[in-house]
Amino acid sequence: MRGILWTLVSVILILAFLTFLIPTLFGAVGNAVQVNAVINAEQMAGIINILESSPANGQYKFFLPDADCKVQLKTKNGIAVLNFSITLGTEQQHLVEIIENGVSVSLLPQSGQEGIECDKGREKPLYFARLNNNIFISENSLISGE
Amino acid sequence: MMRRITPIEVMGYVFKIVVVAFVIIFLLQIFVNMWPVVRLNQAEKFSIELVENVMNSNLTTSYGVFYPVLVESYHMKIIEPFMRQCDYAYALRFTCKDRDSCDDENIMDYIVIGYFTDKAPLFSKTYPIGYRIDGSDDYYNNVIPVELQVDVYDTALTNIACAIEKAYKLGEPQELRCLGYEGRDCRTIYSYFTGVGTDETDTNKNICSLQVTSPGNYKCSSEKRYLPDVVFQRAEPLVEFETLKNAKILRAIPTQGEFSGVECPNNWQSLVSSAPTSVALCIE
Repeated sequence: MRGILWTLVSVILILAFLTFLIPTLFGAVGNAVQVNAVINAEQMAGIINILESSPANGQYKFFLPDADCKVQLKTKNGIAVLNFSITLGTEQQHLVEIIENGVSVSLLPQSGQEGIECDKGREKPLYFARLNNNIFISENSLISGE
Repeated sequence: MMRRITPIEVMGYVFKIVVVAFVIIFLLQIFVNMWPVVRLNQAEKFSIELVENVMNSNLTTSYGVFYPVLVESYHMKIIEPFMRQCDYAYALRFTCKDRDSCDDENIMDYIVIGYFTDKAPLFSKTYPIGYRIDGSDDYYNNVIPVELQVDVYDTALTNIACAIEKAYKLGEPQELRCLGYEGRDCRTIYSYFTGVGTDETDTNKNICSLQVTSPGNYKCSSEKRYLPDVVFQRAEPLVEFETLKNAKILRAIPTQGEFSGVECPNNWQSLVSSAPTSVALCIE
């Protein structure tokens, strides 16, 4: 009888441990993924690459992480390179080249700024819009009704 | 009066404590040693994005239905037509699945476009597509089934070619680690690059990996990459091949000047130009 009791107590302890720690752990992993520079940059580059082969007048809404981060785009001589940097103690940055297929890609930052900055305190929306043969990246929706 | 605890009971308590301690240590061990690994599968991601672009390119009449005449016009050309991302090279292989229909329409059974190499691709996938038969009004019944294999490559040569292209087009110096880093070997550099042009058959526009024919003699292997609209100062590794063998860093420097030799001069940073006339390669 006492043996069964001990087993039961051990099982309850293990279950309690797992119940409380696993969500915390997965939450921490999810948060780490969300603020990872490589993942964010690759996701945004993927959106642009797919929009390049999509019909015109389409828009995709992406959420920038709630962190100290910035999106920049360098375009020169047909090459477009997206640069995502995030500061989490130290600065992480990742550059991804966009597929070149004749569609131009432009970033529309606020006047006087080089890139689009994230907001601390909220997940800021970023819009990727395909208008004719151009893709624009903006903080504001570029297609009405979306 | 308290009962005396027997040695067997003491051992029983010790055993229970050991079991509980073991369970706690085991659980802690699980959590301490848990390392989440995020795999991005970038080559696969690139392949999918590339295919989306290919399926909607000027080679097609509608999604995934290709003009065979146009596809044939690029056969065995090492250009990466319509779309390009210099980080990865790609080859498109079209294989006719209904040979009789292809023969009847005088369409080649096998067409290959893009990067040439004997090396295995980093990622490869096949897709069912079709050839549109010209002059037919019956759209749905006049498509010949074809298989498209998309091979994505990430080799030392594609890395070096991409560094040269980025340096020239962005006007920023690029750097690659040569030995002991992702298997890159800077001895693969060899080039006939001399000018600007768009003719992919012109060997002056290609960069290729070296093949040793006999001690001290090298030639271009079948692995080549075409670099459009890039001016590149000819690399001469034939004499300095042994020097290259020990190279640690390869730099692609956009410049308006001329470099001599293969080693980077001490003042290479002052020779960088944001509006380069060519790219020079050097090692450190």
